[in-house]
Amino acid sequence: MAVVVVGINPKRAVFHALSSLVQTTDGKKRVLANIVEDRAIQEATILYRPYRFELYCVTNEVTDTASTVARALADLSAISFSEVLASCYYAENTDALDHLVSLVADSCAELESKPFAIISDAGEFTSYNTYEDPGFFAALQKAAQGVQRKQAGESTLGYLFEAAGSFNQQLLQETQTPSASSINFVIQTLVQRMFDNIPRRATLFLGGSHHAQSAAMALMEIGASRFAVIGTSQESHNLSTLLQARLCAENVLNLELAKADMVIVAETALAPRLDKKIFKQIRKDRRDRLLLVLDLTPEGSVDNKITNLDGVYLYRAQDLLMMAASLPGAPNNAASVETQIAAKVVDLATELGISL
Amino acid sequence: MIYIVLLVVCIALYIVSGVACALVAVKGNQTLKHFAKYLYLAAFILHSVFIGLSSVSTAGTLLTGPNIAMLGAWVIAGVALVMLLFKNKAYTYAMFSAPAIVILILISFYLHFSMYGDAISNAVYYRWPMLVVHIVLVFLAAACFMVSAAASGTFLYQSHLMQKHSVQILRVDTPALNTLSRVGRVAILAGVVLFFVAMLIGFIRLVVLGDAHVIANVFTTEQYLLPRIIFSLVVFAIYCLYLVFAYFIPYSVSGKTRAILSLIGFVGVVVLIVVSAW
Repeated sequence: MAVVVVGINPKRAVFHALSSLVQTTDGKKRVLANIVEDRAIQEATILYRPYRFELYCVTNEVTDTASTVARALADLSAISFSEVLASCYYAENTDALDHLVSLVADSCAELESKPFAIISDAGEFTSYNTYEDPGFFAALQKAAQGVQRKQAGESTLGYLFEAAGSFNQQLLQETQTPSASSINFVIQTLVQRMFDNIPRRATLFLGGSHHAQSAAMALMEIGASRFAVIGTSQESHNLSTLLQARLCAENVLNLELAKADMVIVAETALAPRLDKKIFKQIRKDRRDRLLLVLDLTPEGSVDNKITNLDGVYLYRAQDLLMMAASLPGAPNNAASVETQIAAKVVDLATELGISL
Repeated sequence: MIYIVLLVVCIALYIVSGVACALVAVKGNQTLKHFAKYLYLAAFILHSVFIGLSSVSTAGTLLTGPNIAMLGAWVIAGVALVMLLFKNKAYTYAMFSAPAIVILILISFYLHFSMYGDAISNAVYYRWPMLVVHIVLVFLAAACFMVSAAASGTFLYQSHLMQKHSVQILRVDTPALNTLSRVGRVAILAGVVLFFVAMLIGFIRLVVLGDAHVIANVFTTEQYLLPRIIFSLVVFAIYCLYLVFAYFIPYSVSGKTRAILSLIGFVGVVVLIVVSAW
């Protein structure tokens, strides 16, 4: 027996057309009925949320399930099979279980690395993460009830989704007590501890990423409105559009730094320029204004020596994570949630008889 | 006896409210917010009652050593109370002012007993009515310097937490670093102006007393004024230095150095009040 997951990349053009196909109960049934016609597939169900949908199947042996699913979707839509297949992602057995359990955990608590790492390049999907999704539990229950099967007896997928639903509820209880446990809360608090009159404070983004977008939203919640973005990447452009901020070229970095109260570093490529030397150059222009630097790049790219400068406070992503995890009511930090994910995958694989 | 009981209760209230304010500001204890505020108010009312009763018993407030220290403490308490009642996150100011007030009250108490039986009167005031303006200005300046010292102390603490990435920063209930820096600066500016006017009034009096031989008089007939003149000049110099760093060359020294300078200045102010009252 094998458990397989096939999903459609939400960034591809075909996603919306296919998503609307499986949006209704009737649509789901038609797609699943088409899939279980494949002789190898014993059970199938669809986990549907508006921003993504995935088909989970139990097969007799590991076959080309992605093709079967793609064909079923193509048959019921006006999209060609090759186009659907090219938009699919796929995982099987423990990877599929890991994917499902990570998705469950991600709907309760923000995970940095897990959700899409197993089946695809994480970067391609990260903006579709589903932090604190209140409808996720209902989606799991629907998927458990909507399993299409060939034979009577115990439903493997039904059991799997019920187990995932229980895990979702358990994590929700443990992690979702205060929204204060999120990194955004930490960022907001840090900004409020440093600055009064936040609407007048200037925020400079070096590059754009989904973390930068999330931080920008958090800042806007507490009244920040003056933004500038430096960078040439598509993410920088998206961020500047989202914030209606000025998009500047890299050669004006000194000028923008002199005006900034907060700097959010989102792209590694721009960060090395933020060193002690550049701050010394703009020292007179800045007078004695305070500066909060948030380095959201995973590896921490800003020169640590800038913390020796007067009025410059540097926080890296791991500092923010550490602070968020240590808040009261947030007993589970990302690391402990990931440990629970790993344990749950092993449990499920053992119960379903899937080799690890 | 009633005075001693009043004063002991007043000191106890200031200490307890100071501790409560510290718990609110540093530990973020929200349940103590009202308790701290109203306890401080109660301490201030008791303090005022004590001053009123003393004044009635001596047919007017004598502008002598013990009362000068007591009034100094009262003005500082009044300013801290106004901030506490009308400004959010002012617990840090009350937290810093409480020990300064208690020290000044104890000094006043000590001086009162050491001078007991001495012939004391308001003779100086009758000869020099501007004395009241002079003293009030000094007290107001001291209150401004206290506010600045409180802001600077909090700035140092908060800045330390932020540099260490301590999670405590998420729990404290203090004003923003930016606000603390600005309050520290503006309070000193206001304090220096008031202090300068008070010093000017004092020096004019000194000149009048000594006619053309000011310096000679300081060292002879008005010798008791010498320590307070020296301390006044030292305090004034410290705060002027602060203002130069804060307003003219802000990039030359760190915010931390300026905060330390403000704290040193306030210690100088307390010493000056003690020296003046002695």
